Order: sequence, then structure tokens, then C-alpha cells
Amino acid sequence: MMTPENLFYCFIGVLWGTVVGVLPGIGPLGGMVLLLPLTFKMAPTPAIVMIAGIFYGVMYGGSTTSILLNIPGEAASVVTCIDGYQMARKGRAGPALVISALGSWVGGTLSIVALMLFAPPLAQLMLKIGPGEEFALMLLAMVVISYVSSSSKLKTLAMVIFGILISTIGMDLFTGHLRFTFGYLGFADGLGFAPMAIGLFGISEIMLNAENIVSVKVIKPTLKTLLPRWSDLRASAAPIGRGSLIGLLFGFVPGVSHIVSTFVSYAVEKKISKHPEEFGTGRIEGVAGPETANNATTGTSLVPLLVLGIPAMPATAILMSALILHGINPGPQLIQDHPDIFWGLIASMYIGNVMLVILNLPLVGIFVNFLRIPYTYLAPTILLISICGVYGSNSNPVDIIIMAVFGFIGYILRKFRFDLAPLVMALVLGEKIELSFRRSLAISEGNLWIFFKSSFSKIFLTALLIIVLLQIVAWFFGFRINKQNEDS
Amino acid sequence: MLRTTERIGDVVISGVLFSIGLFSILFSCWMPRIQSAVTGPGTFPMLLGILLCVVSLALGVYTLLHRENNKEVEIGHSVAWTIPLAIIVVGVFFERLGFMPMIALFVGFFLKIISNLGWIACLLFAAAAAISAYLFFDLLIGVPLPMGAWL
Repeated sequence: MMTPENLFYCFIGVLWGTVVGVLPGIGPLGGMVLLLPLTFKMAPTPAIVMIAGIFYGVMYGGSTTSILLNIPGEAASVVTCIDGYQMARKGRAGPALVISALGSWVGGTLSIVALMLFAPPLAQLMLKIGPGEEFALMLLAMVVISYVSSSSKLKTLAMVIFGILISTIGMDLFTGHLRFTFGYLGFADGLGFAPMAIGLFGISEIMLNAENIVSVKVIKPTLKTLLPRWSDLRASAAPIGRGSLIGLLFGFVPGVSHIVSTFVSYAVEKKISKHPEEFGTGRIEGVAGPETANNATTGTSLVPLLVLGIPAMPATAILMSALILHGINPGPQLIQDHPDIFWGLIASMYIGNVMLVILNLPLVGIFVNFLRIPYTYLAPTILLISICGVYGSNSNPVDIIIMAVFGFIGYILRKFRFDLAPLVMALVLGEKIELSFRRSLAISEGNLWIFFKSSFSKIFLTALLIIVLLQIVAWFFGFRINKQNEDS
Repeated sequence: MLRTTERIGDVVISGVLFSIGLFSILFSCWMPRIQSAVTGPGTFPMLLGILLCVVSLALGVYTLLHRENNKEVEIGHSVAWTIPLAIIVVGVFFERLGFMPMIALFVGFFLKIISNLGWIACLLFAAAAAISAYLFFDLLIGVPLPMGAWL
């Protein structure tokens, strides 16, 4: 990890992640997929290190705009707006930024320690599971993602199935038969994850923003005003500890862990505070806890990906696609077969977190200046990077057209509040789900009992059944309450 | 600019998804069945097609039964529509015209439609963007960019 090349790409990743986090027009997913095609020419370790750097770098950068502009740079920074911006209005933007960065560093570092501790023994356990259990686990993951999505459950489920269906385009790995290619050999490898993902997130985001371009007023802190008081540091210590624990636990849950963890942390801090009525007016605890929780999910959210091969959130799905594109299969054998990737990633996260504290504190003024760039210049630049990046992956102009088509699809889906994240996760996992399904049936010679035989399968399928039943019950009671309201 | 409601949009999208599911089922029927294997290439797409049809039908029915979701949605802002169309044009002519002319035209056109800049400013920025992108992607990173069939 300590080679100049790896350190350089780690720096590029965290720098770009911070910029993406600061700029409200690009989300973390858009930021990650934009650089994804550029990693094709790189060796696996620096490529993964860079993409991962964007992932946790965004968590730092997002708080900057939340505090200075009351605009969350990314979804998990929404809660920071509540008290962070109020602190900035009172002339205390500096302490808010410092505590946010320190909390992020503590949460991020502890999450890496948790990743180091939990991943290897869990991987050993997961080596015992076969394709039947793998299929049951991925099915559970997809259902959980549908359940926790912010969009309607039916819409999310439709997106998941649609995504898996799109992943079947191309050559069938078992028989070599071409599916849904309509005679075009360029589709034999499928539609390409990079053009689809950039289209769905990047292009659709620009289309939405182009409808309403606004300029923003920026509160710019100076280096002198950054220093927090001792009372701020004392008041933040316990929230940082609690936020770390909340984030670590939520990181394991597939879905929207980093967003949910920030809301839970804020709710906890408000609940146990001696002055809950002051939350929303500029309490430092309202910034320290959520920002720590946010970053504390980053390490543990990588555990399902690296150990099970199942991304816990959309950002880790992009990381998974980066691994697959470099010929590395995430799952229980990753630590065994590619220890350099696993431990290199962990080392990069330690170093990246330190880089981020340096970038986000003394250099915060530079990042704030990015916000002064008019969107009219930013948008064509992003489009240019998208086109070049997508073309660069395969030197195929059809990929540019695919990106445009998926950009249009993403725009329409977002307009009608369909969640795109489950679609992207399904695109990544689709091939794996089909492989484990068909492998299981091949082993059992068509006997479906293979999916219910082992203890792991029974646990996963029971959990799945409980979630589905809970959802049906919730829907039924919701329907009855609506009917009663209509009748009355 | 097209104005509609979320309810209508959900019904239309569920209809489209239903059609895709149905298409998947029909297309899968045409795929060969492998005698030596339990599942053929069409098995999984057919299952997915059936699931997609069921879920999209459920979504459509649910949306039609719940009349309260009449939030207005505006789609088709002219600038928004122009972006994917322009990108498609780039894709079609990218290798024929070459990277630099195509990108310069694209960026210049895009700047003109979303900003108040004059033609000269747009062209200057477009040229600078195309040259910078060429230097960065082709020379620095090594991404092979097309020179154009006319060269």
C-alpha cells in the first residue's frame, strides 16, 4: 500500500470524493461511476483504493455544504444541516467544520478497525456456504433493500427485478447462448455497467438540475475562525463515541445504513440531551453525533461486500463492480485469494482518513470556492468527463448511446419517485444471483429442496419470510386505516 | 413541457414494465432448451419476466385503487430533453467526426442552451474544453480517442 502510486491514487480518490461531497449537483454514486472507467487501465489495488477513497471522502465533503449553505452535499449530510447551518449563522462555522471532521475521522477509523476484526473470521464462516445458501442470502439482501428503500415497496421491487433482468442481456455463462442481443455482437458482454450507472445517476442528475439552475451564496470561514473551544470538544466527545457505535452497527445492515444511522444518532443525542429544546438552534452535539455515525458506517458496510460478495449500499455496489471489472470476485475467498487487495484497502482507508482531515480543515476554503463555479460551466464539464470515461472503457461509441438512453430512463424514474439505487444494486448482483440459482439446481438435479436444506438457508429464508409477512401486515393495516378514514 | 400527475406516471411506467416482462417471457420461450442441463438460457429470464409482470400489475392496480396520489409532475423541460438527444448524436458521429470536433460542438451547443453566454464565449470555452479533455484523457491517461474518419 505504501507505494507512491497507491498513495497518489488514494489522494486522488479522497480529493475527488471531497469535491463531490461539496458540490451538491453530483452525488457520491455519480462521483464514483465517473471515475470508474478511468480505473480500467490501472492495476486492481490502486483502482480499488481510489474508488473506495471517493466513497468515504464524500462523507467528509458533504458536511461542508450542509454547514455553510444549508444544502446537503449528499443524502447522509441532511441531518447536519439542522444544527450545523445554525452554528454557521452564529459565526461558528469553523467549530462546526472542525468537530465534523474530527468526528468523521474517529468514526471512520473505528469502522476500519471493526472491518479488520470482523471480516476475516466471518469470511472463514462464509466459506462453508454453497450456491444454495448464497442464492437465499442474495434474495434476502434484495428483499431487505426493497423494504428499507425510501420509495414505495412495489416500485422498489419492480426496480430490483428490472435490474436483474437487464443483467441477463448478453452471453449466458452456462451455455454460451446470446440473450436479448438482437444480433448485435457488441452486447455479448452485456450492456456495460459504467454506461448504465453513469447514465442513471450522472446524466439524469444533470437533466434534473438543468431544469432549475440556481446560484448559491457561500459563507466562507477563515483559518483563524476554525478553532473550536474546549467546551465544544468536551461536549462533542460523548456524541462522537455514541455516533461511532451507532454507525458501526448500522453499517452491517444492507440498504440505506449511512443515512439511517445519521437520523438515529441525531434522535439519540436529542433524547439524552439535558437541553433537547435547543436542538435545531446550533447545538454542537447535533453535528458531532450524526457526522461520526455517517463515517462509522463506511468500514462495516464493506463487510457484507468483501466477505459475502453482497453490497450493503449502492456505493459499495459500485465498488463491487470495480472489483469484478478487475477480475476480482468479492466474497468469502477474497481475503484468501487476494490478501493484497483486502489489506491494501484497509491500509488505504487509514491513510485516506488522515488525508481527509487535512483536506477538510485547513483547506476547507479552497473547497468552498468550488461552490462559486457556476453550474453552467460545471454541467458540460461533467458531461464531457462522462462521455470520455464511458468511451474509454470499451472504445465503443454504442456505450455513449447506452449512457444517454439510461440517462433518460433515470430521469423519468426519478421524476416519478422510483428509487434508482436498488436498480443499480440489482444490475451488479444480477449475474451472481442467476449463477448461484442455476448452479444450485445443477447440483441438486432440479430438486428445489436444495434452497431449504441447510441451516444457513433456513435462517435466510425465514428472515425473508418474516420481512415479507411484516410488509403484508403493514400494508393490510394501512389499507384498513385508509378505508376507515375515507368512510368517516 | 409535459404536465402530468404521479399517478398517471406510475400507471404508465407499470404498463411499460409489464410489457418488458411479457416480452422477456415470450423471448425466453424461443431460447433453446438444453437436454443435458436442468436450466437453459431462457429459464431465469422467463422467471424474471413472470415476476416483473406480477409486480408491475400489482403496482398498476395499487396505483389505480389509490386515487389520492395526484401530485403534479412536470417532465420534458426542453433543456432536459436536449441533453440525452445531444449525447446520442455524439455517440453516432463520435468516430466519424473525431473526438475534438464532436466534443467542441457538443460543449458549445450545451453551453449555448443553458447559459446566457454569447456564441464566441461558448466556442472559446468549447475549444478549451475539447483540447483539455484530449490532453487529459488521451495523452495523460492513455484512453485512445478517435481522430475521425475524414482524417
